[in-house]
Amino acid sequence: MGAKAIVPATVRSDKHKDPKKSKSKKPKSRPAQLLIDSRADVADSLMTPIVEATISAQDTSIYRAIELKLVSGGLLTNDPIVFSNDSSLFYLAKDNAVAVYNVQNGEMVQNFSALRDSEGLDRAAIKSIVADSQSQHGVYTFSADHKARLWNADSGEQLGSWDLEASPTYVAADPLKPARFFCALRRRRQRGGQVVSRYTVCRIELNADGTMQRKDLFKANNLLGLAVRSDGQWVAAFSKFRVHVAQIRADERIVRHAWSMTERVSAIAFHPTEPVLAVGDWRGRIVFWFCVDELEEDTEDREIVRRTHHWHAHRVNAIAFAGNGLMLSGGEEGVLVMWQLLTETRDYLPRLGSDITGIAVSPDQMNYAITLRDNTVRIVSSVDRSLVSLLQGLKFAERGVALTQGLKLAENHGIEQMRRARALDADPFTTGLVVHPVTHALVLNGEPGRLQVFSPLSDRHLTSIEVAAYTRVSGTSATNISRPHVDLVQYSSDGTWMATVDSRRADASQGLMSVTSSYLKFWRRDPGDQTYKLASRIDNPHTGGVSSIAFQPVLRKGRESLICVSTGYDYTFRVWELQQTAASSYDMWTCRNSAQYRGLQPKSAAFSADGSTLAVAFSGAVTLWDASTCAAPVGVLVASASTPELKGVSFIGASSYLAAWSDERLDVWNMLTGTVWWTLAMPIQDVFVHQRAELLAIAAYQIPESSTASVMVLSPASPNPLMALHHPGGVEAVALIPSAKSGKSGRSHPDTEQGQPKPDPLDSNLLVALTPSGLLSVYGAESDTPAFASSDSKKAPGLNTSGQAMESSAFASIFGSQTEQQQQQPGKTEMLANAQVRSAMRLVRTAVQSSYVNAPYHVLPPVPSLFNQFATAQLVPVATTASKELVSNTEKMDIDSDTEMVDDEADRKEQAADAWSNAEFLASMRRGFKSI
Amino acid sequence: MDYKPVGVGKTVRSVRRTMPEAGYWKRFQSPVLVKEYGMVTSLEFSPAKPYDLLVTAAMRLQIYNGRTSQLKKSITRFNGQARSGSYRSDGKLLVAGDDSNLIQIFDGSSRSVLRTLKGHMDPVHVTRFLPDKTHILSGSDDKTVRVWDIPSQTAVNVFEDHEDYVRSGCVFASNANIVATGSYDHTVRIWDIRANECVTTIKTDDPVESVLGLSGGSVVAAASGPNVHLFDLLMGGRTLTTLGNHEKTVTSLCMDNGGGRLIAGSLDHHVKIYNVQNFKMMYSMAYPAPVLSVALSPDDTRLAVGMASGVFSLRRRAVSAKEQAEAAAPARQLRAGTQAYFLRGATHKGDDHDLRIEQRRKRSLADYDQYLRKFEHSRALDAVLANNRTGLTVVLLLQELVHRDALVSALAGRDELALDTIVRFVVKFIDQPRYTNVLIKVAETLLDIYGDLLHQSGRIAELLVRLRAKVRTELRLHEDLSMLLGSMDMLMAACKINHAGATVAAETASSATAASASVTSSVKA
Repeated sequence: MGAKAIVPATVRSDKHKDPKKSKSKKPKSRPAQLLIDSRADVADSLMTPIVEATISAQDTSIYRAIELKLVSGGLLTNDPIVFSNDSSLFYLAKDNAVAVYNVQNGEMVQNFSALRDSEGLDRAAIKSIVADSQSQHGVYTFSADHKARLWNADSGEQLGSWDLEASPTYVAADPLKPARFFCALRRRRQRGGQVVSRYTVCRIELNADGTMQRKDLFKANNLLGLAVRSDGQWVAAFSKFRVHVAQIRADERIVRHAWSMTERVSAIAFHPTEPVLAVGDWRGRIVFWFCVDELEEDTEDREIVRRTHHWHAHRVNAIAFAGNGLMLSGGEEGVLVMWQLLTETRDYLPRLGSDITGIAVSPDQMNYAITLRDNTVRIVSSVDRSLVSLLQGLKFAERGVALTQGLKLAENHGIEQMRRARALDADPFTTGLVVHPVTHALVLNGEPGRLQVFSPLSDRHLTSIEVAAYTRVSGTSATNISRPHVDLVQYSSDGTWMATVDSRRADASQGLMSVTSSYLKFWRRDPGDQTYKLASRIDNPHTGGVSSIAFQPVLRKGRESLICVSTGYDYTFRVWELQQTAASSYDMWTCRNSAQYRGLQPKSAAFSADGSTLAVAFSGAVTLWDASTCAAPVGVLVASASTPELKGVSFIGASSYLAAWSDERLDVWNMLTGTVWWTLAMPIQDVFVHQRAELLAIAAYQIPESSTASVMVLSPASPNPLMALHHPGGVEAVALIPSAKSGKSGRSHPDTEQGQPKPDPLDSNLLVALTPSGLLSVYGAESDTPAFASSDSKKAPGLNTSGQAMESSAFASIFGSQTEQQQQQPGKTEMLANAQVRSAMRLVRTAVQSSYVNAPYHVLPPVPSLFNQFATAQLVPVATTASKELVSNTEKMDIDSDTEMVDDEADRKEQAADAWSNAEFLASMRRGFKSI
Repeated sequence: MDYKPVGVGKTVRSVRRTMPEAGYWKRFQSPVLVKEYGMVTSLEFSPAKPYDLLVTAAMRLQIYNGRTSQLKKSITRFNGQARSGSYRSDGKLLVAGDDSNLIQIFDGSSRSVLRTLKGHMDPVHVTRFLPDKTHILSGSDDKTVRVWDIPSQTAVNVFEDHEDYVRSGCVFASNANIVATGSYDHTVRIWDIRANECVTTIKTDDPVESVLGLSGGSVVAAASGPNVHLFDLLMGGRTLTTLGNHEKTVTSLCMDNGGGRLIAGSLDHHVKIYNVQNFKMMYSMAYPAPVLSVALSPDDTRLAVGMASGVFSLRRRAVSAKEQAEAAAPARQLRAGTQAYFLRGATHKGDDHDLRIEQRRKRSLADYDQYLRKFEHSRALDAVLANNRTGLTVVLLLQELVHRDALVSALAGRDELALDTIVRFVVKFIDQPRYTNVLIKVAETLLDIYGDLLHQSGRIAELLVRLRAKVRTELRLHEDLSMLLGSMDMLMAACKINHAGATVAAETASSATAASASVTSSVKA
């Protein structure tokens, strides 16, 4: 890879626009070159991505070491999950890593990956996971780099590795013998200009010495799935219209058979005890083939007895058999159907929210895991069908993967993929990344009609806000079901109000007109449960739809007059005002006024930090309005006559700068002089303007021939990026989120030492980049201590409950034993207590740092809990060496309670001793206080 | 992920931001306004039933009957403005000061002057009986506070520490030896009668207009300027909190019977009610004139507010039968073993402020929702049209059918009779702006399906003729409206040009073009 790449980011000065500029200290423009470290290789993608990005621009070189803190999000539901052998854990593949979760609480326990060296992402993607039948938590992974690996899921340790010499696509364990697998190995072959995937289904045995034995069973093209019977003698695989079956007789003779089908096959499964192969098809039928017993090479198709079970209206995505003669099936309807085969009755678990893509039954038959298309895994108890745990990923990942991998999968799922792409067209990613002003969580499009609140730092789905209520129905491929879609979301600067725009388009297959209705909704945060409650709804605020909304910043807390502006496709923008009359205690939003400008279409609007000025982008011009009247524009900013249509406009923090951007360029205006301060010409994908700090982040389009997209963070004063990086594989959106650590404690920076403090953006902020495939990469300033709790800290609570909770027998779960309750409870309460302790300790620490003056008294923990911290903090200078040690010990204890690594017994004893002497000392202190 | 009935988002039910207590204070309704002879400077309810109201206004004391609110007695034995009429704790004697420096004690029933106390050099603004019934506290503009012995008519204590007019004072029911006074010298002083000295001095920012001892006697509320301060006497007069909700000087304070609420009247025409537990404002009432005095009757049913306009208002709270019964009969002690004891509490409905955990009842779905749930679209449409439902419900169901792409299947395959109702509905509502979008689509779909068969049914054909006439009328109306709008826009633009003669030509040009653009667009619409 070349060590240098020039990003098409050029800085241009508009000299003819403003002659005064020579006086101001605008930096001399010169093409900014981004020198990329040679490590910025494609292969070195996610784990050790680029990292240094230097910019040689001015004499003060702006260099910042940036590191990838973590990658969250991603698709969890590529394949059905796999239960561990003792049913206490489940595994799922996340690209090249295996994530291990606890069944009982859905907490991530472990995360491990083979990608440590310079292997590529795509090549190392895990294709299949199989639980090891010999050990409790052993797990085999089969990845696209032709390797099989054995891991210990508790420690994340790799125990062995085997080379398979071909890409394993579908793998199933052989029930007869451990470390033996049935495997479909893939080879791609070009045939007549068409890529054909040629599969060899074989039985492989992995030996402890790293060797492998392989026995080929049959070959087939374009396989879509594999099933193995519980006696280990029968293997079935299917492609679009063919089902292959092979029997391995006791004398190792192999009997093969293949049938052509009239209907497309979508799923197969063997009955564990009956001689039945169940075949699900695209018409929703599940056909039982009684073929397993007496199959010979020459058995005719019509000799086989079949029996049809038909409930599903659409194709059957998954079939699974539970032990007690129960068959589970699911499809696009989002209904789990439980077939009681003996009595021929059915039972349903309806309204799961999305298409079912996979079903897994835990080895002890206690839980069913349902994988849903919307990136959700539901673990359901088999006893009472109650929800045991729920794992939700970033919903964006599902659509992202569907779009990016659409071409790759087209060979297998052509029509299906097209349908999904069409459905996603109706549900595009329109909200962008919105950062909640209080919690700093990311808010973005979720399922249709919903917003997802996601925490990128903890990689956790926080909540889902239902903006438009609708009943999910599934239809045939010909029907055109419209789903509501959330177009926009914005929060007021104190987080009290949320404004959303949702729309629902209905262009049915018949009729000329498409009825599009859009709704502007204002939600007020309920201080009680911290949820947003709908306060006002405006039907069709703009004919044709709303293009943007913006809130006026709330200057004084508790001030109840608030305005919000919306721009629409009807060539007007409207100002909405919160009405709160003393007589009626209802909140109501009404339209205060609407305005137009030269019959142009407004695309974006923004308020200045003091709320007095409103900027609205009309075509290529930014118009400025007095926010209190909005009668006529008080000023118009036009960068040049040929400015392309502006996509967005925003004031930058509390500074006097305004940014306006289109697809090709970004202009920053100085509002004091009314001139263009600088211009950046580059293909812009997304711009994020930080609300508090004076920062903006820009994501560029991915250049076709390069495999990376550049992201930079700038301060409005100068076009030289404070920080720039190349992100592998394109960036859909960027956001800056304040990190938990305050900006004050930032370590000293070369620039600050020279007396002139520079804004150090990534010391107090983290850069989040959303890739098209739904991964959230979080970048932060390189530092020795992590700026936030990494996901590792969550390992312990998950493990706590994993041990004995699963030992419970079926009897206990049916009759609800008390011991089980008790076994589950301690883990939970411990977690709770830990969380409380952690938050209390954090408060204490901040309180100590701020000398008790800054925090209002009602948010502080009770005085007794503050006392120890306070006293020890105060006593540092006068204490003797012994008490110094004491203090350091208490600090150590804090850290320990944070990371919850209290498993070392000796350590604990030592701490206890220290704590005791500490307590004694503090008690004497208290007495002293009392006597005063 | 439950089934969501049609029209679940039909209306927005906004969240009320009121507190549960507002309802209580709102029930003080039907204000009776009574005009007095001058500013109503003091109001007090008799502590004895039926809680007569004593009004001090101009040169007289007026006593209003507690039951009928009629004027019962009037005491006019004053040579100057009467001040601070007050009852003794048994309601039998009255005391009042006046601007002729006298303090007079009256018999409540006969109105005769029983005692006259002389000694103050200036108008007496504060007179109160002490809880021992034989002493009187007085404060005067001569900066002194005196405690009088009634039988001997002499001042037993004369406190001269105040440096300005003494305009407010209070006694503590729990302790007859302590009194508090507030003065225009910005202080509140606590006096000990036995020690004959000031025990505590509390400084405030403004002249003190009113002081009030809160129940228990450990807290004193003082109105100083627009603020109400609460002082903790046990902590040596430390400020507990400051209630700063008023915009002008707070003139009067009183407590409710339970001692949990503080009522403050102010010159900014408002009476505000505070919770003394959490110091939050619970309710606010507006009055037509600056408020000088407030009083709440001991049974918490009447709120009297005196104003500077010489009017006082009396609001009465309707007392529910339950509350009356509770007040009349205190909880009966039940004997263990009786049936009443066994059944006790069975009918208890819970208090208003209790947190209720309700059993979630299963929602019953309307018939059309049940059909919709089973994807029986045609029958759902029949059901919603059958029972004379509102237009909105029908339109929402039609919209749901459109969203499900099931409109054609729901409308197809109907005979004349079944078609009649739906066409009638379309004819009736197609010109309603809210429904037009959906109903146009329904009409189009109907014509697509049944257009060829129209000649077979005279009834449907007739309805369609009506539909066409209605649509034509509507179109003509729209044309007229857009013409009117266009001409109005032209007028407005002309006005703007005339008015803004001095403005830059470019701007007027732009507005003119904008106006003409809007005209053309509206004509197009």
